[in-house]
Amino acid sequence: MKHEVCKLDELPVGQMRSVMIDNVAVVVVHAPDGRLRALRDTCSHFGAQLSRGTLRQMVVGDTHGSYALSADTFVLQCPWHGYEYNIDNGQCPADPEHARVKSYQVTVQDGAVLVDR
Amino acid sequence: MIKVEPVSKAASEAAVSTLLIDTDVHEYLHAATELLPYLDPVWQKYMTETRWDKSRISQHAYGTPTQFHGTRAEWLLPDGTMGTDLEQMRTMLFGEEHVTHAILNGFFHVSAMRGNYEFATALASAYNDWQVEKWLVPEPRLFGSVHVVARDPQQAAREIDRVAEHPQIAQVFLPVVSDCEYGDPFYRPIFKAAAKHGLSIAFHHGQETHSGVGYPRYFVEWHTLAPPQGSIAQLVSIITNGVFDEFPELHLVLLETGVAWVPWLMWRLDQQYREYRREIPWVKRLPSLHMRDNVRVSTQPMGDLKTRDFVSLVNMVESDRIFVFATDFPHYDADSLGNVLPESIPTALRNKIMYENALESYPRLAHVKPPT
Repeated sequence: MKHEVCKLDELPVGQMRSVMIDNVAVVVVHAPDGRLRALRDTCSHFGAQLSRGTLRQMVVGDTHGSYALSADTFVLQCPWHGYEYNIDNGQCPADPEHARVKSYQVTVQDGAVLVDR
Repeated sequence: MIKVEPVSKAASEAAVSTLLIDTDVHEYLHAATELLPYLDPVWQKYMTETRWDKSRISQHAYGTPTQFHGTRAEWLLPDGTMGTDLEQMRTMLFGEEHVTHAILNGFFHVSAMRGNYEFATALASAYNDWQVEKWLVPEPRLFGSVHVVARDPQQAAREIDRVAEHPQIAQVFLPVVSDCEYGDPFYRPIFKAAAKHGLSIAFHHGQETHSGVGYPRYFVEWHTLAPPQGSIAQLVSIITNGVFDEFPELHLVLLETGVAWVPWLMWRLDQQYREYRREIPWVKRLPSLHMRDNVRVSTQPMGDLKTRDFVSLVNMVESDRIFVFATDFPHYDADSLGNVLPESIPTALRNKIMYENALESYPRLAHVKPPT
């Protein structure tokens, strides 16, 4: 079921906001590249509010000592212990099998941001 | 998660009449001069003229706990040495201890030498040739190590290339030298050469290994802490610096570190990796997954773990592939099969530790088959 959480112009690029949908905390993310994503706003580790964390490009590197910012993967980093969650699927890149939060579909309709939960 | 429970003595006795691979046996030189025939004349002259002996490699201040020079009373040789006689090893290790195959680790840690690296390299080569001639050629049940000077990784890689040709060479031996952090890319040629030849890497402490506070006042402190702490530090370095991501087939065997720390490290390092993955993005898997696939830990010293405790430990590490049997022959604190793996250990797990895990971890032992 789709829920209107805010107007698009209320969520600038690079920002996120925490909303409650049916008593569930959800963080809606407007990534710097324009994509809109939503995750459960509760870290799978100790339950911190992810919306108080940091949205950033994921740091990647395939060989020792190499660091780069991913062009297409953004992570939301927990404000407590630094767990990262891929905003596209809610998986923690370090431990996708065990550390993950639920992700939700986000659409824009008539200037409104809708989260499907 | 594997599920193992202690079983009755009768149910597990069938496992005894099979392979028993000992991953930690120490052969010794009587004296460094035994290497003279294997040295280039320039180094023969150097060793003779300077009266160089192996005590110059590294020595800590502690004595041994008994009057038998660091070995068991029954294993002390008439000349006061230990581990210098192949015939005695046959009798004691393959006979009385029921070992069927053994990996030699020596106790000649040239990587611990401070300076004089050209001579150290010559010593490593001489030792390797001595090991092959004196131990491996006459005894096919023995497998050997390539000893290298880790502080010169390019030369070490060349020595691995040279010695690896011998079919009984099973691993590259690296002493746990506290100011060498083996995960550093500086040392990567050693791991690359080992992987190229299908050799495992063994870590073992020596007198050069520090505890977390360096050299404590007493041996009891050092011997409690230095072997596990030194090897754990090296293992964390290896994992976080991406050695297993670069060489996914490489096996690392940690010798004489004890066993009970393994689940703690898995939990702690996994947690830290979840928090700091972005600092080491070249590491692509949880450290505990690398440990289960690439790391083996010898059982000696098993300590006072009861069967049920050990079975619980195996469950905690969620793998029956980690532990490999070792005696530490001929040292005073050696373990015997009956003490390490009592009959109440389930047969399947016992077989894993007695030989299956070793066969998986040392590609050079692939031809060794259990009796049918």
